[in-house]
Amino acid sequence: MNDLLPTSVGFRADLAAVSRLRRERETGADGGPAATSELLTLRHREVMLTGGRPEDLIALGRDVDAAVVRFPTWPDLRLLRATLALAVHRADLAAAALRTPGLTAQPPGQVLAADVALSTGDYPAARAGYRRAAQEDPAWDKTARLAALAVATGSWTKADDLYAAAEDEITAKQMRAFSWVRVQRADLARATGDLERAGRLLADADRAYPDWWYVTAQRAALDLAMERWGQAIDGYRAVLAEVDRPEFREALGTAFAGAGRTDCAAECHAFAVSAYLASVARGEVHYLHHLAAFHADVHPHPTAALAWARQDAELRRTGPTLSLLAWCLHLAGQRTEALAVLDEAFALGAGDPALCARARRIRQDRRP
Amino acid sequence: MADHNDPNSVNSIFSDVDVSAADVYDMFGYPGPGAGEETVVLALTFAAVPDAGVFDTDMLYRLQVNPHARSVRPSADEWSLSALTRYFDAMKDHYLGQRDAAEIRVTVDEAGLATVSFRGFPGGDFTERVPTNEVTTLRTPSGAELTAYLGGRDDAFFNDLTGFFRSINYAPQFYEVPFARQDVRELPIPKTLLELEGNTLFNWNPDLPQHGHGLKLDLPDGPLTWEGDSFAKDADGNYRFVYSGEDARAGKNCNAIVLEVPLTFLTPRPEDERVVNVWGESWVRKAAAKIETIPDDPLWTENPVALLRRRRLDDELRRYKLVDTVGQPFADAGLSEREDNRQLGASNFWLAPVFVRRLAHLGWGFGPSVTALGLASVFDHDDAPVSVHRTYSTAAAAFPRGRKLIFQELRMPDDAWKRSDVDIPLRRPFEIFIPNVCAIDMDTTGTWPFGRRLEDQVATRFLSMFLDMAAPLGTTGYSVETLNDQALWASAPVVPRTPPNPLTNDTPFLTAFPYLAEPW
Repeated sequence: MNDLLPTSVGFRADLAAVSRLRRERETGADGGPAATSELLTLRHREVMLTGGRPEDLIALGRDVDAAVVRFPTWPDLRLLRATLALAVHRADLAAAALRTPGLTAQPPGQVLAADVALSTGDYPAARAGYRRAAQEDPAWDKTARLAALAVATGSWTKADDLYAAAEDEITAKQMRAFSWVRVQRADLARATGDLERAGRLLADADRAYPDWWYVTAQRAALDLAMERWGQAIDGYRAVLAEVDRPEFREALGTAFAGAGRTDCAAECHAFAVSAYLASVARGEVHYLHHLAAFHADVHPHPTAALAWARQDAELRRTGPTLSLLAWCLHLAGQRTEALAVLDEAFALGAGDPALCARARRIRQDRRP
Repeated sequence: MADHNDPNSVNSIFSDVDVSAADVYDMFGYPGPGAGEETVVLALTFAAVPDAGVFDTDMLYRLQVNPHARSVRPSADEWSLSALTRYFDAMKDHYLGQRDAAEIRVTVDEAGLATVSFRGFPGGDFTERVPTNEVTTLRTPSGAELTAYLGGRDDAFFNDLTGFFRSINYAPQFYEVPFARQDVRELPIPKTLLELEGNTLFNWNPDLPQHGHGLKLDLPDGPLTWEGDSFAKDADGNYRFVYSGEDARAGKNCNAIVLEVPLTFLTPRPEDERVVNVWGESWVRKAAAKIETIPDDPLWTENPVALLRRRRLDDELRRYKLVDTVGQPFADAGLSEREDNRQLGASNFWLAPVFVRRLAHLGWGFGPSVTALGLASVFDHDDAPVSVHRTYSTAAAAFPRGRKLIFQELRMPDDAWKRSDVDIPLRRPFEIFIPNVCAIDMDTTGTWPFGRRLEDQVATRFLSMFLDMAAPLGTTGYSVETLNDQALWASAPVVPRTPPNPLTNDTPFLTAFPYLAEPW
């Protein structure tokens, strides 16, 4: 895979290099499984760099499916299929892609199987998988995954230590990876209430890998959390200029609302909800939790929020989905069931900051 | 933004490694040619990235130097695994106790100026800034002069890399191996010097002459094994050699750090410390160090765990990550299987059991093919008629098979390697590869294994370890040069009738510093 990687520095240079390489491979593709897999991997890289929009990921997934039909035994295609499925919350499709003899015997497959476990709330299996992969093929990405798992299971201090350990393995040739880890640490700091530190970590991330929309989006989210409405508006506008995703529109609307610009807020929110609903109408599931959260916290409609949260939790019972379901139940006045769902989440071993914060408020019987 | 920060959603950033400038190629070391003051020539070569003569500014190259007297090794009548273990333990204490003693570090800035630091030498610490791609004279604090060259050169290595990979059935040289199949490296097919009948995965294919020479095929679906029972023969009854003798590095460049240093700068006791051990390392700058101008670096202020882990390193090295080491040729590629976590250099003592097992594994492969060629194999392969793929889980099980190989003296073809009347014992494989250093004996010419000279055909000399050096062969017997002898191959039942690797470099080495040829 390493020969697929650009040696340039910074987001725009990376994107240009990946796009150029993708075009070259498209021209010279010989149609074999390795070449096909490389080309699709490059397309995936390009899609992620340009925003990771679900519709692009789903379209790419269809092409990967076609490639799997042509080359059913080429394992990289199945790994890519699983990756794409997970990105749109289709753990079932990811698991199916990995159901090939021997595929999860090696670290790349072990990691993805653990990702599937994490996304379905099987935290012990995720931990075992990541640890095994890290033992067999130690690298920063496994450490970062263990850190993410530690966040999900409530070991926040350990999570930051693990992220720091991951950073220590990342070299100057991997600045995007470094920036990404700093963003995760910033996100953890924000979620646990240390907003000043979150800001500092995001500044590091931006300096390490300039011009990346992903960092800009996180910065805007922090501004939103700090009720710096003007900065959040500017930030989300900058992000949307590069990556038009409905969740960014929703966030921009929330910033407008905070700034008192209700018309702009309504327009943004309407656009976002419309896109969410269109996605659901297409049979997609990745925006279910956005709909639930929107109706729970942004534009209160407890009945709708609960309906969407139930639908999401029926598909995957994890800390985040159960946390949201419990919150929606609480908002809908169903306290007993909310507490039961919280118990279920904690019984899984979940303990992410959002779950803990919601649990605290539900148990105190506090509503917005 | 409920859960878009999970690792999956940014999966495309993983596997994001590009450290090719960290690929160190070779460590050369031998006594300098001058008749006056004793000097040592040290040359570390590495990938010419971003270009020949242009250094990667995120890299730090490090040469560690450790002069000492000749080591005492197990006596000839005590060739046991426990004696070997005791020897390694003693060497380990010796090395680990001194390994911080002396080193040379090189970094290069955007303007092409190199910073060369000498630390821990009896001749004094000093740092100089020197231009790249020029021969420079450095003056030490004690007034001695060193000669330095840092820049692009012709790659001094000359070998048939494809042949080597064919001999060990190394799939990535011949096939597009899926990322998911990290187990597909050396396939479970016997190692061999001669092609195996029916080994269609790796045998030379006249219809695809470039296969393995740049052309890679998609890894086939079928079993990646071999079920045959004989070596392949052509219509004339000749075996097919896995080697072609072609120079895979012909016309290619490297970047190099070449130094010629007075022995008195390296050791205060040059009359006693006649062996200069040297090994090279590449370190790549850590990402955190790249942005370390941030005033409040959270790595330092908020992560005492990381801080403790770094404490063993000095301030400069803490900002870098060790990537590659080189001491002995083939210590990593041939014996450590290129594992990232085995880049230990002089600290490779814990690999001793691995080496014992690996040498036995190689012996089962190469040994029968050596015998088939009519040569004496040092490896006890039970008269196997064809190479065998066998692995061992313990050193104890492997040791009896490889004992003679591990302990045999590697004979030299003549006495030209000696520069004095000092009685210098011939070297044996166990002391060559552990520790993984280039051990330059100052009373020799420094030809391998008494160092490594540029003109040494070390790839073929490495193969000579599998010959029985005590067996008779013509009038001279076996030596490290036997397989480099064209006359031997001219009468061998094999095609092509060539030594495994080219006998000389693609372009002549220079007679004067920096000795490595000009870049292409």
